[in-house]
Amino acid sequence: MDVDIEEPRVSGLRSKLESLLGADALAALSAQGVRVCVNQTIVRDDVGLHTGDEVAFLPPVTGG
Amino acid sequence: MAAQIRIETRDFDVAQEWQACRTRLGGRAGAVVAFAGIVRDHAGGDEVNGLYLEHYPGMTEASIEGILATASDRWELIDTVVIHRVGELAPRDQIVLVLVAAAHRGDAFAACEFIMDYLKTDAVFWKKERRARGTSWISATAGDRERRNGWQGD
Repeated sequence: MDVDIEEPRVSGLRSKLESLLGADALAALSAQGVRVCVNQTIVRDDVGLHTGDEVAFLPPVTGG
Repeated sequence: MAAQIRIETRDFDVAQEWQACRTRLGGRAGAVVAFAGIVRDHAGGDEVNGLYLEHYPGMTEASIEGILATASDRWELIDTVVIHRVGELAPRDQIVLVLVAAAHRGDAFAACEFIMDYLKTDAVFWKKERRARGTSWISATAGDRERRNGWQGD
């Protein structure tokens, strides 16, 4: 989804998503083991964001 | 080292992939190790009716590329293939194929096991298990992490 945020940081995006999707969604995005990716690279939690950045919240992975 | 990574919903044919790998190799390799993962019909004493796998296009392939590059740094490899299925899978379906070719069997055996152990813990897939009692997203197990960690510090 495309989101406009006032504060261009991951934390700002989280707050925005909370207001859009509710507290349950925020809890899921903040759950233990969830990693944040910006443009498909894992980042530390609160990096700055730029217009057009793709942000993903990845729950624990498993393949095979 | 040649590396081929495919994420697909459709099934794969081990014999066809094996033959294609052998054709690419010519006479360079002395060993090809193949591992195929199959969907089990049980887990933790429960019946499993199926799996659903999701991936993150781009990042999933990159995560597997990273695993293959690390394997290639550790062992002398000639050719590697990883085919991983996504979508709805039923018990007895094939889910993953790993082929590793090397001049010598030691490298091929070890690298194939290494790649599978890392696919379990580090490849970007999400797996939902369907049981009679309901569905749940599953994580790598402690045993999976233990096997992966066993490769560190060798």
